Amino acid sequence: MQNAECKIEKKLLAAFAFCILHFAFSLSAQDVPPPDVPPAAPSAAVDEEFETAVYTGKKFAEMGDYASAYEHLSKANSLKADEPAVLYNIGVVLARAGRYSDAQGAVDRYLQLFPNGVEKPNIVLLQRELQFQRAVQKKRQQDQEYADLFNRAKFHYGRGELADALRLFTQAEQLRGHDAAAVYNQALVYEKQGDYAKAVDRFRRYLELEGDPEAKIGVDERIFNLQRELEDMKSKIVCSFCGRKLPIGATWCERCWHGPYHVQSPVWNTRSCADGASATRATYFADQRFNRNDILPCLWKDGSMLETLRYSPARQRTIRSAREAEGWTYAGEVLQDWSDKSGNQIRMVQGPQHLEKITSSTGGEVLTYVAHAGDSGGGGGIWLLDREDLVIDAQRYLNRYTYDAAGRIAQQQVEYQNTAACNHLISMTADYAYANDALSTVAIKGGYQGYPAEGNPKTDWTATVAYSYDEKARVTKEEVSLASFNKTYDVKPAGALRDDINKLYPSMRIRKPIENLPRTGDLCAGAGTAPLTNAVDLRPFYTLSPNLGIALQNGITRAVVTFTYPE
Amino acid sequence: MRARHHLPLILAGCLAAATAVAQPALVCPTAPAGRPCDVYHFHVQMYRVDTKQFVEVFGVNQFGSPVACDRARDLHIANNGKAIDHLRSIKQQVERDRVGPCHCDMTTDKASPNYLTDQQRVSHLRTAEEIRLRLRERLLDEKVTSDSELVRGLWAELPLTPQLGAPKLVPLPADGAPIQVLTATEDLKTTKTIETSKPTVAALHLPLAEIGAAPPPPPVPAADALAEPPGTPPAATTETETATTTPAPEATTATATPPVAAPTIEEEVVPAPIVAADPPPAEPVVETTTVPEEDIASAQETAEKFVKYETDRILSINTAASNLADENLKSKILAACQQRLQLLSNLRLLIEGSGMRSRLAAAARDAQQENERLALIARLFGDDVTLHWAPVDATDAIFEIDPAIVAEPERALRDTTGAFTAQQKKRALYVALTRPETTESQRLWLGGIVEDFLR
Repeated sequence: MQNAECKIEKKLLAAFAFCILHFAFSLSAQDVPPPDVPPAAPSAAVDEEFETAVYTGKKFAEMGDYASAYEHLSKANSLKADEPAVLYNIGVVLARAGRYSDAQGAVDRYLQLFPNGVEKPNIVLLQRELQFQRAVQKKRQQDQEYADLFNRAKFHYGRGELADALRLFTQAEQLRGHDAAAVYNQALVYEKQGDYAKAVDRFRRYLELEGDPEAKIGVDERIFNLQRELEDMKSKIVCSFCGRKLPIGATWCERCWHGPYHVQSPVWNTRSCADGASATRATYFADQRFNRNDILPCLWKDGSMLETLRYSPARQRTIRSAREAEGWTYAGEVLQDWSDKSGNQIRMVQGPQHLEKITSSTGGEVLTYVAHAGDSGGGGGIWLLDREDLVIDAQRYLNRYTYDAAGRIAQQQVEYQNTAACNHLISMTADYAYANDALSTVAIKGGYQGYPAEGNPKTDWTATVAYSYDEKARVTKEEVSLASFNKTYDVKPAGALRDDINKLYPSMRIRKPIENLPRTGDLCAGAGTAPLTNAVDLRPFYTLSPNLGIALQNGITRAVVTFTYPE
Repeated sequence: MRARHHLPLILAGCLAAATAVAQPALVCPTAPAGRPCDVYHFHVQMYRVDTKQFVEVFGVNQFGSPVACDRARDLHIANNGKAIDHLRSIKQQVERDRVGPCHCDMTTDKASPNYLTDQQRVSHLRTAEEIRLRLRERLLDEKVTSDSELVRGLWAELPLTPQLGAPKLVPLPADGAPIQVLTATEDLKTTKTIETSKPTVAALHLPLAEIGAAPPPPPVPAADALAEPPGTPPAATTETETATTTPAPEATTATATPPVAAPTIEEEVVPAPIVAADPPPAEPVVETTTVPEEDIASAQETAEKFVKYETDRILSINTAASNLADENLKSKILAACQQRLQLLSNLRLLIEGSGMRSRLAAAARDAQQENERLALIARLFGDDVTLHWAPVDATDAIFEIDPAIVAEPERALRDTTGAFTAQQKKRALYVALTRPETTESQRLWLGGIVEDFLR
């Protein structure tokens, strides 16, 4: 009875084993489908067939044809289910074929049926091998996934999709925190993004992880350069025209003479773009009548001039890119020439330390600059202009500057020939006064001596610019007012010029000041029905303030700029 | 009589010659040889209408180029000429200005006799303006209006270069399109956590059991056989070997005796390296190439060139097929051609995506001749594909592939167990590339496989 039960159980197990093996075999897409041989009752023919199948399977295994070997061993197993040696061989053959999970099924089957079978020692070894192979497969799968991740990150990096590349390299680091390459590549991405602090952090981490001394070569230098850049981001600004790095405190960029960059001056921080900030310029006639209000646009989108112009590699790149798009070229960091498709050219004659001259092929202009170092030998990068040629709205000016001991502009002299009116040679002088490091007043005087043919007119005027500050040292009011304005003809104008002048000033008498000149303005000649005028031109005093770069029109004698700031 | 007629002409000629001799050259003394000139000007002998005398001024103009100087000179001559001609037309005896040639301006050279101080330069300017005002007065006196071209022309100058008149404090450029950051994947480091140089090896040393015989003893690794007792399990080896399935010599003889301790069969499964196009770990960070970048056609150009050629080939196959009478055959060829077109489309993306320095791009670039092209195709898709790729007969374009591979090409490509041969994997690549919609990640993966095949 027990024997019968045992036989039944054995048959059931054989059928079960066959099903498992058959299923496993189907799943693995075996080249040769498993034989669909129905279980057969033992007989002499079956024995013969079984032995043949076993023998053939073994021979195929020896040839390395494990698929065929399995086919025949499987057939043997179906003829005589669960022969321990056959089960063992099936396990070995499947393992050799790389079908480790199927092999494991055979091993499990063997151990279940023959826990103390004669093949047990080898089955144990096979079991270990299969465990090892599973671990290998798992590792390979992880390697595959990691490699895919890494490759995707590289792909994004190559396309300049830095955010995506960074995300994937970060994921890679999370998967394999010991992978120095993932960390190094993150550093590269941060560097490209201009986030140097994070780049330095990542490069340092890379040095900790990288075991290969040769691979570390150059990383220290890279960190040093990034740290220097970080220092520059704290202590330097960019020239908004050419993108050159300038020390905080520089008035001009010595390679293009754009400026002024008075980033710490309250006057130059009056036009913030922050909410609540405003600048309004009101102008008044000589009789104190209000003329108009001008809302001055904001200048500093990052709140202050310093923050707006603060150096960053990205900002520098943006500026350079904009200039290059306009046709400017650079030699290293230094602005060079401009040209267009029509062959027009502007050449920057760069001296060893600063821009010395600009020449233009189009108008033939020659702009000359003379400067001196504002610090010890210019090592700090501060250069002060002594002389410059300036062009504003097609009018040329010659500026000369003198400085006080602190390197602040003490006086500015301007000379120009007013080509917009009667070609008079006009001179102006501005004297700057400071109180507690802040600009308090500027006294300006100007005038010219006319030509004999037009009656030797002599014109002079004085004006004052005054500043008011609040308790936070912010400018609340900036006011320019014309204090005096005189013009006197020394002799009678010649011939027809006399009629021309008389139309301008009907009551003019020689050697007597023109009456009501502040109200009429300085008229010098007629051009048809419109008179030509020598306006009080404050534009060349561009270093003074961003708010008073105007020429006072006829009759205007006062301008008041008021400011509000964010609370 | 005849001589009397000619007398005024002769006298006028003599006078002109004498005047010409008396006129100064209207140029500065020559600059020292070899010294470059960067400022040019011209002298003018201005005619004073009030004193009827010429006055020379040479400190009133400066130009950065001879061309600009010549243009300004021509403008002066033209405008002065118009004004003088107008006055002459109404019987006034006036002279045109005499204008010298453009030359190097020596008025800024302190060693030159023509050097001008600032005051002297102002004096020249004032003289010139006074003379112009006198001429203006004469024109106004002749009822020329003050805003006429004649009067305005007296002060006409070349327009200034707009770029030089830009504000001294320029606003920062607007935040427009982001600046393209130049990135090169060669700068990136390659992960060393994936052991490509030591692929995993499945080495089974276990012998097969003999049915009805004593069980085979556990194997002992040959090298350790003397040192270790029998039954010591072999350590899993991870040696690097070539992908081979090598029957041991003992396996060739089937006997009933128990197997020897040495493994009868050792199978080593060498999977394909995972990381495509990565340099070996020992290589420097930046991959260097001996081919200058400018000499290498871009990956896009390479892809375009390669794919265009192959597309033309398909078109010619299609043309040849159109002559066939058998519609069934024709439709099969058409289907094969369509598959191939899709494959080329994906191949183009792979070449472009893998970059100009990839093996694929390099191989496509180098495959100029027909035999080189077919060699590349063989390396990618298998040796026997070349017959179908470049068929002698249109019917040869029909390409039968194992249905199992057609059903699941990824499985064959991902297989690391050795269940698929290299040729089958290449065929699987062919099938995978004929899929119409491949995702970016699939292309990345396929790109890695292609690089592997070309390695």
